[in-house]
Amino acid sequence: MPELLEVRDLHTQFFTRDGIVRAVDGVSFTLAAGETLGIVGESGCGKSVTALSLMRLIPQPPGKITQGEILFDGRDVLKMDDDEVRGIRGNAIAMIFQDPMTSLNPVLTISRQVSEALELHLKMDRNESRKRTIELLELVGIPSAKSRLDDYPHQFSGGMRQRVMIAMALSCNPKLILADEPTTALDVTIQAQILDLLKNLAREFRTAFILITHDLGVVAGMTQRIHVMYGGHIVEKADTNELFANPKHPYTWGLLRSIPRLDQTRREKLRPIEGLPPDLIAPPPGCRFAPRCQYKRDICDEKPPELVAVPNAKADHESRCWGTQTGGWLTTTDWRTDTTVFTKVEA
Amino acid sequence: MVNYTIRRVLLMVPTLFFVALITFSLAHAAPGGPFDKDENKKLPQQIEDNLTRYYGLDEPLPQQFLLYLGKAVQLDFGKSIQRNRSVNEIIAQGLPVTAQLGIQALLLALLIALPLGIVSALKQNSGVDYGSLFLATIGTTIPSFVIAILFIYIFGVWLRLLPFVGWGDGLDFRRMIMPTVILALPGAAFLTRITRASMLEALGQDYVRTARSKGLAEGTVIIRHALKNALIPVATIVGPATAGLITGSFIIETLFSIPGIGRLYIISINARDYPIIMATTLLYAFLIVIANLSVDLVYGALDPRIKVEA
Repeated sequence: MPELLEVRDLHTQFFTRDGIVRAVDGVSFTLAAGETLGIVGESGCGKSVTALSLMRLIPQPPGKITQGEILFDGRDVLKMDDDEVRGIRGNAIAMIFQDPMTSLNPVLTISRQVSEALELHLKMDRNESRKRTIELLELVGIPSAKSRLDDYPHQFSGGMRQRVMIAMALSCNPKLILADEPTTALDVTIQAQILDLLKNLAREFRTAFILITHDLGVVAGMTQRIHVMYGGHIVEKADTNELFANPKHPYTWGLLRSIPRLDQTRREKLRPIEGLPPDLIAPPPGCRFAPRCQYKRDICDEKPPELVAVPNAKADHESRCWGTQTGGWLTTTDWRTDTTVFTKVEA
Repeated sequence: MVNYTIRRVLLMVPTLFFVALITFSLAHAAPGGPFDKDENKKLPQQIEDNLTRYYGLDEPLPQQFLLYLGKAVQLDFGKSIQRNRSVNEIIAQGLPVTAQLGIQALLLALLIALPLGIVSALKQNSGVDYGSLFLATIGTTIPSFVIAILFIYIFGVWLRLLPFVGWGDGLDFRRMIMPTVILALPGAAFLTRITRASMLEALGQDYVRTARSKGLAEGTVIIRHALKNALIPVATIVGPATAGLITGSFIIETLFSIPGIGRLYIISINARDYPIIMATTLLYAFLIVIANLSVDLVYGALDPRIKVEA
């Protein structure tokens, strides 16, 4: 399958008073047309910055994409001029943001905000775009869409606003949708509805999408592949089933341990990953997860591991860990049965 | 909306009543009276007594106040003690001048403040930004009478570029320049800072990022998405700014000998011309209340989240 998106060695940095924050530090991945990818990791590990970089929406200054290539449909987004990038934004690549409460303009009507992109990219006139807006709002499940066209965002609930955001993203039939924590700000019941909607629409329109979340539970049923990010790096790549069946990075294990399970006995407590993500101004010299890793050995603090294929696993399963590489000390460790208690590693 | 407006207009009645009460008390509490003169020009006691009786100033104060109110509600504001003409006539003569000066100054202030504030926000920490900060600092810190005297000296006396006395027929453009600019300056300074701050805030909002993610041109993002939001706080400041213009006009009209009601106000206070003090104060109070009401109505139009309700 020809690749729709190919990201090579992307570096995005923020130049702050305290130093250079290496928010995305050498990220590479590919996405085929119609494929769905989950990017998972906790706050501050570079997920959102990666997504914003793809559309060149990093606020500059202080941010800057310092290195790398983003090939979209064979063309490097980073080499395009501003007009060409604007031609892609909202058109071939659309984005759904985290907080529907603040991501819609409070003083413009819903129809104005949805039809903007239609008029811009598809050259529709007011009447056509209005009609299309009604269709889009019906598509995303907004009841009596026609009568709500001239309402303002504050007249919608959070879930309905996120539906409007999805309608906006879908409006120009994009090839790729970037959904940055699209359900984090919503109630759990609404979350499920929005995720279902996203999944069905992406399938229906054969749109590729990248779902960014901190919740492994969210991506489980949603995406074909998952990339786990930590400290500006991708630390594990695998297809979704493989990642859940056979995770090969202690950070992924930590994320899995912190998800509540229905089959868990009541006594068992969730085990959080102790500590905080690394300071991306001065990241640890070795493995970036080493300071929080219960399995670490000396080499982890000294030399950064590479992202390499995992032994005895599916072909495209890669991990950035000394322990699970060929010859490592964790190749046979099973995170489910491992009894080592996840203790505090550093104060 | 109509109900709301009516209610607000009705609320003006108590406001104006208290303004009248306080002004009346203060004016009469101030020492001296309308017939005081220098020692050597003093009126004979008999004449002063007659005058006092003629203007009803011999009655007890509460009674004077009630009499005044009774006439004022019929829009009869009495006769000026100094000028021997009806207050209505005098104000009708001065008000157009003051109104023209004030409206010109307000428009000029907005014309300076909005573009300057927006550009300062877009080009943060640039030359324009620092320039506007400098201007805003001068405009707010140096009192307008100092600036006025400086301007009169530079442009009027030294360079002999602009006339600086009187107003003429209201069409003499060169005569209006200095008073209008100086009156506009403090408001312009303040509004520039507000515009800059609220524009910066709007530009940092998520919905601006959403707008950019749709591929909109930067101009559309700024005007359609950021500016409309940024103008909401600016609009609320225009009400108080109008009040600032009114008090500013006392000084400017006096300095430039402009025959408006601002100068009239100062003169009548010095002369203890009670009917004029009362009438002009009430007029100013009325204008400020109206300015605030219009701002509130505009606010409802700008921000759909604010619904004006009865």
